[in-house]
Amino acid sequence: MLDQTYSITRHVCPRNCYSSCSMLGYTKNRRLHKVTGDPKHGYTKGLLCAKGYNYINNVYHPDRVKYPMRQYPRGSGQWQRISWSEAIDIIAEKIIELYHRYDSHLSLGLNKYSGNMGVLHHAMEGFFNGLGRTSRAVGNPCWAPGMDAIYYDYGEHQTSDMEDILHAETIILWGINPVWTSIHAMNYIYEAQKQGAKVITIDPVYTETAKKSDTFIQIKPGSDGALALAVAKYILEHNLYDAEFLEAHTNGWDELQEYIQPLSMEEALQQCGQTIEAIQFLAERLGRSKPVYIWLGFGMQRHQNGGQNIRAVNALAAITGNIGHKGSGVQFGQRTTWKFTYNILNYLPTDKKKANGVRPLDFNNFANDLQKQQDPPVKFLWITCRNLLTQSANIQQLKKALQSLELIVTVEHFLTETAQYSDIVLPATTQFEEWDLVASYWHHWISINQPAIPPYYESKSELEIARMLSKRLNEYEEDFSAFPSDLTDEEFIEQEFTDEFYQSLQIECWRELLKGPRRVNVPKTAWEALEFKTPSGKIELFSQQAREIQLSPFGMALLDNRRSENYPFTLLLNHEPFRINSQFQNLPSYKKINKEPCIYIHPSLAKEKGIRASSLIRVFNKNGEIVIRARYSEDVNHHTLVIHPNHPLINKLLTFTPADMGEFVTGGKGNALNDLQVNIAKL
Amino acid sequence: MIYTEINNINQEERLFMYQLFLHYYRGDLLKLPSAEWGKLLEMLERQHSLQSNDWGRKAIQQLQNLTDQALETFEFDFNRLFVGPNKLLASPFESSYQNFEGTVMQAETLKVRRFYYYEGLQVANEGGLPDDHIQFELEFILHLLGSEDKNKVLQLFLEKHLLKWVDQHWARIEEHSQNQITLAFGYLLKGFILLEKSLIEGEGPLC
Repeated sequence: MLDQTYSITRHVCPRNCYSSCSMLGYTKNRRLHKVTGDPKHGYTKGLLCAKGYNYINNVYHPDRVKYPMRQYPRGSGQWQRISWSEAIDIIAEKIIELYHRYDSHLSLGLNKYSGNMGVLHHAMEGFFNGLGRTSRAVGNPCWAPGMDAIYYDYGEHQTSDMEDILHAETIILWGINPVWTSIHAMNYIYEAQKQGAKVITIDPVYTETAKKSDTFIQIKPGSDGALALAVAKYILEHNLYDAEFLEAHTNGWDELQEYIQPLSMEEALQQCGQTIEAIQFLAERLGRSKPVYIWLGFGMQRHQNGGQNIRAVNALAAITGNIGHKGSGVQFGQRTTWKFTYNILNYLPTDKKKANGVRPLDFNNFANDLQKQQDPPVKFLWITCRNLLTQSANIQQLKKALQSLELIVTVEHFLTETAQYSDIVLPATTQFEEWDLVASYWHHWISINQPAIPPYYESKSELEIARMLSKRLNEYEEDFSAFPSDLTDEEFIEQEFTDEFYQSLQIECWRELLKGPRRVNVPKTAWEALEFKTPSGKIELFSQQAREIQLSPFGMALLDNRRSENYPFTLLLNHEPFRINSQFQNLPSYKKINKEPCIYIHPSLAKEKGIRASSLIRVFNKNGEIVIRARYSEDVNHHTLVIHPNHPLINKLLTFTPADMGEFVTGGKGNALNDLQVNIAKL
Repeated sequence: MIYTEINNINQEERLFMYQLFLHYYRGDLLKLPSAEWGKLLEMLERQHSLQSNDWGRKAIQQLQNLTDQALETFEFDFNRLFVGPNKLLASPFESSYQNFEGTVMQAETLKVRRFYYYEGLQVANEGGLPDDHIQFELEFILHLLGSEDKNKVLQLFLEKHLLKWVDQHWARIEEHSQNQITLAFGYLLKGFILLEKSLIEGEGPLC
């Protein structure tokens, strides 16, 4: 008989996004009927974004990978269905063979990123750790420079609860477009606005958020540091700084003053494209309309001076005493609520002959490192939570480097460009078919994810795959793999908690999370104790740590003039609301929204170049050339172009351009993706 | 189409054809040794009703001229069309054609499930795979085909489900097939469905 009642299960969106929404799944007759937001989530409060509400079409997409499939030859499109035991045998045999060939596991490579941010999705890293020393993509293409900058200035990564914004007099949304990329934040921003706060958006693009703000300051891409410097100089010259705060809570103010004084205001204004009136306005808001809540997006640090940009704004907030008080602070991203034990990563080989750890392959320069590391070379690559071939620079070099591999395995929901270039693709479960735990890098809530429906066709969770592989390897040789094959999903979850973490969540058992997400008991206002884990214990306007690795000790600097004459336009890769990079691209209704890739161009530039609206144009730089449809937009300025990076086309123009920071926190420098200089021509 | 010409399909032939399609869509024929294809062809050639329309004749013609290469690439093409992991070029799910978004396991799938339930049947691993995969619809038809008292249910199911989408399915096969066998089975399906439709229109006994 058909069941007439729903069972309701808790889920959490595991995508790389600010909100990490808790969701409710309504299941009837083993079929997920609908997905809603979870009203018990204190930040998202029962709302989802357009992507979240569309999960049904993702989970039940007819094109989901259904079975383990093998392709021979690689890239031929000649796929054969294989059983799980065949797949596991092929993979295990390769691992064993390579171990005997090279007498180590360094020829095994893992490239994983943020396709799924769940704790149990660390299973493959855990599995690799359990073999011994292996090769791994290390680094981060997204927040690396900013995370280092925050670290140098504050010593750790904190954010305030979003409710804190209700205490703000001034809100500066600096390089962030929450209307498109963090919709839940808008309710808080609107509420603050209603209570009288003024919202200022600083962005190279007149975004949807800018349109809803009280003030919009359109800066030149990458010139955030120059703008901050100009404002700091004005603050200094007009005594708008908070001397008491500076004395008590910062280190290096005297040095910073000395450093700023001789710098040219005119040059700073010219670099960021502002008038002195705009600078005066910002300086007075920062100095006189406090508290000032500043939210820094992830785009402004994707520059060669990206870390410096973030440090410059940090300094600006510190100079004006806008740190640690209710309604103030520089919000970027946090890690203080990620209190899991990560036991899943720590099943290391007991055999002392086996080395532990990883041989790093630079995440952002992966192709190069694959070719460089030859002792021994990587011969086996496991790709998971990652669409390597659409989300990397140097694609041609990468494809060439991948040719020398003997086995590429990709775990996926769909046949991505990366899976197309694999030997084996394994079908992965979605968050409606597995257990997991997810924390946010923005808010402070922890959510659990439980299965609602059976795995689609033969898909399996990464954890299950890791267990199967480990079991198979240990059948071959006892203790070959230390990753446990006998622990259940729930046992793995249990191991992720400590008593301290439970106390912080005010629960006694992780199962209580099934009743609703819990807030981690961290301060509601970041740095409210005004204690900093920096060497000086204060906010470091002068950072000896930065200086020691050949960075400027100051966050503030004018730009080097590096605009190329051949490629005079900056192409920004801003996110749009319906996709997260290559995720959600295959939903039919979304395809109707943006039928083809396009580039946004100011009509004045188009006129200068003789480009008609909606015509195809050439976009080129020293790395390559693409042909793309031009759309007029007055939201960009004359020298700025925008492409939403929801298609692989853009990769032809991208290479690895190291940002200034990133190594300290994430293990590798960020990629200065927004320093993409191009030229255009009509076809 | 002239009714009298094609309405000479007998129950035995129908049973054979539905069974054949079930094996085909279940993937059983992927493992068929090369030598067995000749035998299958002989069996098909004995299906007189099939020979009564162009599609059946074209299908048999394709299979008569099977090359080794076609046998070698059959599995790859079958997967391209019906299994994946690529975007399915001729989706085997009814909902791909009937649902607004092409999403499976929606109201369209549930309607099919209700038919199965009505007959006391349930797809194994229900929930893990869509009930409206052509393989299950064929299996259900085969279940009904044997008994006369299921005539009404069968007619309803054919009219409301299989016959509603199978033409679109077949059109995609014709458009995307790159292999003699998948094309031949596309033709076979088209020819056979024509016979089924005329049978319904003629209101002859379905079971």
